[in-house]
Amino acid sequence: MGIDVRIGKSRLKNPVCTASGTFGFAEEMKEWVPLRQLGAIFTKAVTREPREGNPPPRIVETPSGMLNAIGLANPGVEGFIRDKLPFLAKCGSAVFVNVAGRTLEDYQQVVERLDGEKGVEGYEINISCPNVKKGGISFSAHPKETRRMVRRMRSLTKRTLIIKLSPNVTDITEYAKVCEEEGADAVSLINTLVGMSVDIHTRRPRLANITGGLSGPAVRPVGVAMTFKTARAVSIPVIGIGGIFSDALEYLIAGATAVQVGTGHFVDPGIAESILHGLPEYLKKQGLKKMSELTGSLKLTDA
Amino acid sequence: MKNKPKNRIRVPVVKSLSLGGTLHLLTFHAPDIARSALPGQFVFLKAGEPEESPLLKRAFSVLEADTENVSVYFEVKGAGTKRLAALRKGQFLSATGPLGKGFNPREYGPINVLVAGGCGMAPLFFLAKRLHALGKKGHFYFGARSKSFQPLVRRIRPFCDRLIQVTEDGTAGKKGLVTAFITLPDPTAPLFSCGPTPMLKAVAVLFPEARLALETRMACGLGICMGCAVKTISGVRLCCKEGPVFKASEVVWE
Repeated sequence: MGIDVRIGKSRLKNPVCTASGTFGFAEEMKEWVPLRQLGAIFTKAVTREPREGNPPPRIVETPSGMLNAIGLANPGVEGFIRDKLPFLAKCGSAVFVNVAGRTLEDYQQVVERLDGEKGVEGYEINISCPNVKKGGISFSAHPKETRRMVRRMRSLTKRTLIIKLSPNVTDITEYAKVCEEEGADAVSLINTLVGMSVDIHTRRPRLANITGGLSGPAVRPVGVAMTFKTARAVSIPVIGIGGIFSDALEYLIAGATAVQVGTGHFVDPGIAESILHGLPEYLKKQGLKKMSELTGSLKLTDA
Repeated sequence: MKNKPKNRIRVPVVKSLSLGGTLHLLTFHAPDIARSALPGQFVFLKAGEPEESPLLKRAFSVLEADTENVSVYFEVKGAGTKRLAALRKGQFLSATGPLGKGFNPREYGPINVLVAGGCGMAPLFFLAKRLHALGKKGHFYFGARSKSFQPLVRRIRPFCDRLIQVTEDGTAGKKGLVTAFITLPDPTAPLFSCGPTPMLKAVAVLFPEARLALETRMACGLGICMGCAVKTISGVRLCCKEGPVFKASEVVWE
């Protein structure tokens, strides 16, 4: 039974990965998940300088989901290389560093700095964080901006380059096509949806940042639909993200080559392993020999 | 505590008891958590399957832990606590823990001052019992809105060398705010506290050396979501992983 998958030049042991911002830098999770079993680890976003993130409260629960406005808290690229990368490089799983910033130059510096380091399989360029006031998300504001970003990133590295797309756009496939044209190896989607929650007694926003990013099962149908549309619009792999708990298969059938588990880790830290264990049995039941036969196998006719 | 294995398990309810009003005591069978839990540490609990609503687990300070069972004590406030309180003996819940660092046992003194407010009494009840078992003394100041918010006061008494009960409405013990009555038996006696934020702020002003168990909104309890930020004089720290116990003088209050 082949459950390995290919993303650009990278071969992953299986399609079950961890979403950025929900798995720390992996060391925090070593007690809960056998890291070497994971398809890949997508790190917490790394920026050029250390960031403390937004003021609290940074999270609030909403129906079947949660809003977060963490604000890219991270130790910065130098702190990452010094304190986090040594563990990651030896964890036995492919490591993709999620890269964020305000300006193109911010992103460039992070990627250039990391490209000389061992233990990094590739990059997930985060052009879609909804919780930072300037930059970042502006690269998702128009396909032209996305193109500038991908072109620059592609010129900097031969490693596997994945662009993480925002669902807060009119047509996500336009952005995915640009990524493909500029040589990205894959796109990952969806980042969180912009959301807001109000305390009706105090009439204040429940997040200090006012708005935040919605994640959890509430967004899953959105993620599945965008995965479906995008997988039909581009020929590079799509990595499906959004509210995955026990149902990664939905994304794979809709067209994802791999998936990232996110908010599910908060509720059940061992959830990625549970999802992984269900895969071979499912393939067998469906009479499939390898993951690639499942990807995009959605049946749309009665035949 | 660092290298103890963490536990993520489905555990059966041993006892579910309403303590009057909205207060609830829940006991579950979890020997691995029970044996390693320290006063001030917390557990993350959820009734139902991972995907069921309300989604996130809820954090509760450990009230009691013996070799087999863990008890928590809480006010039924929202959907999460309502579902937990509705569990009956023999039903299962998901539990992770013990989480956080708790009160540092090396900081226990020969005589200790414990200051609790409302449901914040949970970690201090556990601490009072632990100190008693270690042959150390505890002076327990227990404040609440009213007598009905102190249902466990009788169960604390045997473990305290002094118990000072305070209610805001004067229905039991002294009348007023608990912080008005605190006296240290000697200037070096350690003070441990947990309760509502206004009370902890007042404790921090009076006793900068106090160790405070804080409460914040948490999503994961594991230090990965970075949601439970606490502002300190040395920058933002995570309540779940670096806390929930902080030195009073280090906390920057909103």
